[in-house]
Amino acid sequence: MVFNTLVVDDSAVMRKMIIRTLHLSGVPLGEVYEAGNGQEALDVMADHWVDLALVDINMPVMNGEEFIQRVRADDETRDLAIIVVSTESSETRINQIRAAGADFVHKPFTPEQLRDTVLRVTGVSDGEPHDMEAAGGGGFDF
Amino acid sequence: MTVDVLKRGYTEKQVAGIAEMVLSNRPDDLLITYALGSCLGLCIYDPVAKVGGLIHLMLPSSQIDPGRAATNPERFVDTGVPLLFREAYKLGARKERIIAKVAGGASMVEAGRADSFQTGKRNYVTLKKLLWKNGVFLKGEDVGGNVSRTISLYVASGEVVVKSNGESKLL
Amino acid sequence: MENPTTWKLREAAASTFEQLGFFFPDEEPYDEQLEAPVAAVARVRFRGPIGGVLELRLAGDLLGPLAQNMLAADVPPDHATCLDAFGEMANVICGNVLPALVGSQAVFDLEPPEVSTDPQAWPRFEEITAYAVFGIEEGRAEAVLHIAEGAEVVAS
Ligand SMILES: [Mg+2]
Repeated sequence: MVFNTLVVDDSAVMRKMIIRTLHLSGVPLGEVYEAGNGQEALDVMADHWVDLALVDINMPVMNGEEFIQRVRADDETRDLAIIVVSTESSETRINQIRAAGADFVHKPFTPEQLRDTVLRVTGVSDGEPHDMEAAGGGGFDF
Repeated sequence: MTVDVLKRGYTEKQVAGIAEMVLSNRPDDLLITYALGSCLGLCIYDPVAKVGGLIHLMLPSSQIDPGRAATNPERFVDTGVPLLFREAYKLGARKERIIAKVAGGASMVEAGRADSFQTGKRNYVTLKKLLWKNGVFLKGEDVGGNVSRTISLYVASGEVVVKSNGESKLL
Repeated sequence: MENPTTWKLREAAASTFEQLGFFFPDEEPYDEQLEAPVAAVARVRFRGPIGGVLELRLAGDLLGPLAQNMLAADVPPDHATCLDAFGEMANVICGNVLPALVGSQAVFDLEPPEVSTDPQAWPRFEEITAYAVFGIEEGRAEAVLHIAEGAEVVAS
């Protein structure tokens, strides 16, 4: 199976960092969509099937909390695998996130921390070949 | 976890001295480097080709001494790490299979002198930047603190053992 | 001795530069680093048990290298992307420092970062709650915390 993946963050650079980590983690990715806030993410999901979403909390227009509530309230989307990737450090909010069935990665994260959570959530075992080409960034030195 | 290193088999011990590296594709070999303080010991291993490499890195950037970097690239993180990978490729290792583990990068304070250069942390940050740039994750690490460490890699199995304060553990 | 609020701001900023920016934050900057001109300022407004602004300043030629590090790119990206990268750094530092100040139960709302390359883009704060500076490569980063409301909640 491949994971159609949606990365939701108001920072374009953060979205690219997350996508790079996904490719390097060896998760079999299908389509990778990007959205700058919760509303844009809902718009993407209205048109495309998504298996996995990585979602920021602090965003303009619609924040990640509301996005998750909307996704969980809709029969079509309620089973979406969600990983919140946020600077959020409030236990109150992190508990709410987990209660909504989402995983949590705290910013700043190391690439390894994000990879570990992505592998756990997707159930993909480690050691599969990395997709170096698709990871983007620059040329490699080695 | 304490590991009885002596029970693990090897017949040849290949030692990487300070600012040196060793590589091997012989299953009888143990690669080892001693006395990592602020230095980093980086192990890479390809479990399919059964190729291992170990480098003892001293300083973060070759920019402070390009002349030295030309003759001894193993000394610096930014020149030594690419060299280690390229040499491993020559023995048949493939980048997408490589498992990387690191130990060291301690803050070594001697006789009350503050560690104002923070060489250990600089080494580690430089390594992380280089690995991110080149799309390599660390599979294990034992870094920081103020202990001296020894790291070894068993070429047969890829197991990495870190020893500090008389305690051994698998990384 | 450094007060706890300054220490927490320093910790949040240092770990963010290290992990997200792939820069070594030198807590004892040297003269050339301290003299580098400010190249960009980012502000993040926050509301919650305390309200105020987190400001991040970047001095020297670091805007491009920061984005380049984050993206693992060979060359610095376009200007807008560089500002985006810098703004995200401010957002992450802000989100980390606030619960450290008032406890992990508190809930904050952070506004999206505003970024400018004009050092005088905003009026100076009348009062600064905490300040931290780091040497980074040939330049520096400064984190400034301004608490406008609820400062009495902050445990010291
Ligand atoms: Mg955000």
